[in-house]
Amino acid sequence: MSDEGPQLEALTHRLAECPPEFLLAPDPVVGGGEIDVTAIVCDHLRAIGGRMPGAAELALLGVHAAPASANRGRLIAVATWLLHDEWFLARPALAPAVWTLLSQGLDDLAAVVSAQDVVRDPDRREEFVRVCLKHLGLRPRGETVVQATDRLNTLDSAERLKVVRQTRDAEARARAIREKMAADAARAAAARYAPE
Amino acid sequence: MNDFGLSDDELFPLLDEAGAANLRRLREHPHAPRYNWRTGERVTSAGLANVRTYAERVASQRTPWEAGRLPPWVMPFVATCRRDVPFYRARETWSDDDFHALPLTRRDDIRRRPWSFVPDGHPLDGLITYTTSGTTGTRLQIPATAELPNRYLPLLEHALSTVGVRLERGRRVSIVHACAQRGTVVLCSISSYLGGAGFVKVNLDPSDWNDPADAARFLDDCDAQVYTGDPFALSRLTEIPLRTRPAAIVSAGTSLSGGMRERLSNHFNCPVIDLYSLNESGPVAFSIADGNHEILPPDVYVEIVDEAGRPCAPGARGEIVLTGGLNPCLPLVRYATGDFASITHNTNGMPRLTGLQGRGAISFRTARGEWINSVDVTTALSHVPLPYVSLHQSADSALTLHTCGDEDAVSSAESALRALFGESQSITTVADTQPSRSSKPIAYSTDLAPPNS
Repeated sequence: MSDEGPQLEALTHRLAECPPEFLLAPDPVVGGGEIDVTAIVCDHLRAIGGRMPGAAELALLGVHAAPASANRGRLIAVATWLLHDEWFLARPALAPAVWTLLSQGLDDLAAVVSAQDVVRDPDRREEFVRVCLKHLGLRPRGETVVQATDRLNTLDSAERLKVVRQTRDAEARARAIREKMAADAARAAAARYAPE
Repeated sequence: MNDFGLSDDELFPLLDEAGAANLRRLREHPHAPRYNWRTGERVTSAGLANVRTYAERVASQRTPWEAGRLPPWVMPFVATCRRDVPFYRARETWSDDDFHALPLTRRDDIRRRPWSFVPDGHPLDGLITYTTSGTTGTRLQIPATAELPNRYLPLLEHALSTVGVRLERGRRVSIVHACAQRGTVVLCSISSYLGGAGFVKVNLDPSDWNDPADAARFLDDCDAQVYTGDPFALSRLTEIPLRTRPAAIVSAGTSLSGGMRERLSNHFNCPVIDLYSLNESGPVAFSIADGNHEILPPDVYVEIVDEAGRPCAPGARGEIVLTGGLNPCLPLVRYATGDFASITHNTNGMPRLTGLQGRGAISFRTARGEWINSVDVTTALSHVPLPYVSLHQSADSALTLHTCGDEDAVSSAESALRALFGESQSITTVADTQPSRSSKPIAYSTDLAPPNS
């Protein structure tokens, strides 16, 4: 987030106007897809002046039968729409970071936020813009790093899920320890050699 | 008999010929106490190797520290606790570089969430639980490893070495832990660390023997090298007509008065060591003469703090606070013990606690005229859901119970005390709205002179 990016509002507005085609079922979903995510990404990389990934790298964009995978494909398509803004197209130096974002940066978010919500819901729109900017090392114009970080933390669904998972893991661990402590085997320990 | 369904192979994984013979003899002894706890040391070869490694540390790494200077291991230990221990990770106030800015840990923290002190990744196989006897207050559940009791032995050995006593390997019975209370764990075991030497925990209360005369017969036949016990139990031990004499006595659990030390020493004709040890930390310090307790373990940092938790000036009296500890399932960061002393640093040798005080060493007199141990009160009240109790017996034998809790719980506590002390016992209950801020309530006190004082 070291560099300033575009105005937040300009990007959320662009996101709200995302054409519905970007939300169609991505190809190759089992049963037939309606949009080709790989082609959309390649067109975008060409437009921004970036290096074209090899076949092995492009496999990272692959969409599988699971609903979460289809959602990830849609999110990649929506992100491509967002980053097709002139501000980004004028900065080819961002191309490597754009590729990393599209190929790997949306996986966690895809597990918890639907592509439809990213377009329709104001909070999710803002979150999505901020997540994309963060992956590109940018913050919204007019914001400090602290402000941008705080706001993203407030909105960050993936981070929230991570916290929930950690909490759930911690609770499971605490429960396991409690059960062990209460078990007969735990009580059958040798006494200590002196009182305390 | 509490039998937890474990086989001897599980209870004694390292049992050898000497250990098996000692164990069999203790179990089958015709005058043995009524064992009620079938258990064993449960130490594996890896655990035993850990204990031996720790013994080497005790022998070579008891490194003194200067006043106001932290031993070098402390801050890395604190950082590990912050990273790996759920309780410390959840603390809102913390400092990675200022030790004295770290919040104190209180006894109540352990009481409420003992499981939160077990570090992430610590294997749960073999986890054991100790329930404190409650000599001085509310009971705690302590998570621990099976090897923990054996880790105490190198520390005991060091303390004993200062009075010229060396625990003999393979001895028939090395240590007898004597209790004197109504209802406690009575067991026998062996220690692989001590080459299969026997260990017995007995209760001197006549109800735990088939014949009241069996205690003397059994203990004489054990001919233990060392007796351990709290001062009350050791006092009771002097009433048993023993022919044998131990090489040393280790008093622990509650404060040992100078008079009692002298009486025990004269009676048994051996040195008496006062061990300052907590369930939460293991042994902390020992004294072979009145007044000064030398810090014992190489991995416990001891500081003295004032009421606000700030470090006291050298020599000033305050609460004893511990960092470190023997128990890997209960790492302590600035644990406020509820005990008080000042600390003296020496140019050579470990620091010493001076004027150690705070553990409630108490005998109460019942309405029937019997003397009972304060731990019996804890046992009697253990089922009552009160967050804190403080019991005082005045010179006219009347009891004053300070507590805070709902009416039913207070009523249950009064009933339990009458059952223990007798129906005619005078009891006044004072409901405290503000419990003591101390981490360990000074639960018991008396104006009566204890027996044999």
